[in-house]
Amino acid sequence: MAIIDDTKLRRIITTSSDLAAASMATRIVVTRMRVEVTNYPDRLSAKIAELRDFVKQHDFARDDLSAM
Amino acid sequence: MKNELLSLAEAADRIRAGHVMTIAGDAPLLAELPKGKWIGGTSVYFVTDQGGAVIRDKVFCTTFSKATDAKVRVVGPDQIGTIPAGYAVGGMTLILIPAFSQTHTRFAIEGADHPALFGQPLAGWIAGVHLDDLGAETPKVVDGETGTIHEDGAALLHISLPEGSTIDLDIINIFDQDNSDTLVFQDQGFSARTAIVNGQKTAFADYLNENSIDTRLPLVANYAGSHVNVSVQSIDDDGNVQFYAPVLPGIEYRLAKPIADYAGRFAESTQTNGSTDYSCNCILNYLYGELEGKTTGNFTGPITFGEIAYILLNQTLVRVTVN
Repeated sequence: MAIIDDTKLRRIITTSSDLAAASMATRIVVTRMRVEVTNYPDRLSAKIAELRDFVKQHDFARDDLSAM
Repeated sequence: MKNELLSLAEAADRIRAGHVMTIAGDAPLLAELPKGKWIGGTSVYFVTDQGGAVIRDKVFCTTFSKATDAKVRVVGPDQIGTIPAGYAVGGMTLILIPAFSQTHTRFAIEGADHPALFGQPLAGWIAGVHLDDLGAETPKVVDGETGTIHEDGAALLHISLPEGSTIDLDIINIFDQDNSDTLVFQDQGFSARTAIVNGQKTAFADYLNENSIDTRLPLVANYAGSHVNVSVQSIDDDGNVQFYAPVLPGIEYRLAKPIADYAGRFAESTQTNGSTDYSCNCILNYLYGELEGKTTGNFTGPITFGEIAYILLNQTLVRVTVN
């Protein structure tokens, strides 16, 4: 399975698109990151890193977000 | 999974046979059950295959027949971040927390700050009491392995499953967002004095009162395609609006569209059979939807003071399927 690059992770965090096929866990994690970045834009890099780690640790999240 | 309303003797036999279970029931019954691989929580409201009912002489048991092992733990309000430490690889975790406890509040506020919590399916509910007993009785959870009863803490059942098992944790929320006002809160918490309504800072209690908002309808947020509810509990004399789950700052809420037939909406909102799913539903749906005597499709389970699918939810049916 391909690694999801930071450009794609950035797009996932900075858009408001639905993750229709994603698991409940991924939807919540991404939504909370989106809200945090909306409230604190300077945290974008940290959130990308956090999402990268989450995807690296959990196959289901990688599958969820690869499909986007 | 097998969902059954069992007598005390039947449930005890099941526990002694070594089955992995979650059990919901009235406190005196839970206290009499033998030790084993189970966790319990107090509830006297259930939806059975006969419909919604108050039941005090039986317990509602979900038996995880595919479990290969299980570990029971109780963590305190200061240990929310340690929940994932017990996750079994490829497994799932059930969680029960007493309503009104410190753990209830802290799980709701802090739980989602721990990304590891989302590493495997985490589902459960908030234990309650009969509404006539509010203030007189306290909700409780039980560590079935030691037989200890807790008025605070999260009872956890970390379940191991055969390799290759798939677990589907999802929610059924019968509420849709209305296309009316957007509501944004500035602080996280179980109460709010103000909200940003369509971009304008507004006294939220006044907004609800002046617009004759039906507060039996939840506020609904869109979590990347999942509708997540926060229900209004009350408006106090100081103008604070109290909620049953915390609102998040910066997320856009809308009021829910009214629903005429709660039971029918649950039945038509699911594509799965439901009878072998682990599930729980909200006391507010039971009350506002007048579910007593009505079924919700094939879903059966406890009626609870809050539902958990990773985070605390309101007015939602949580379901788990294992294949």
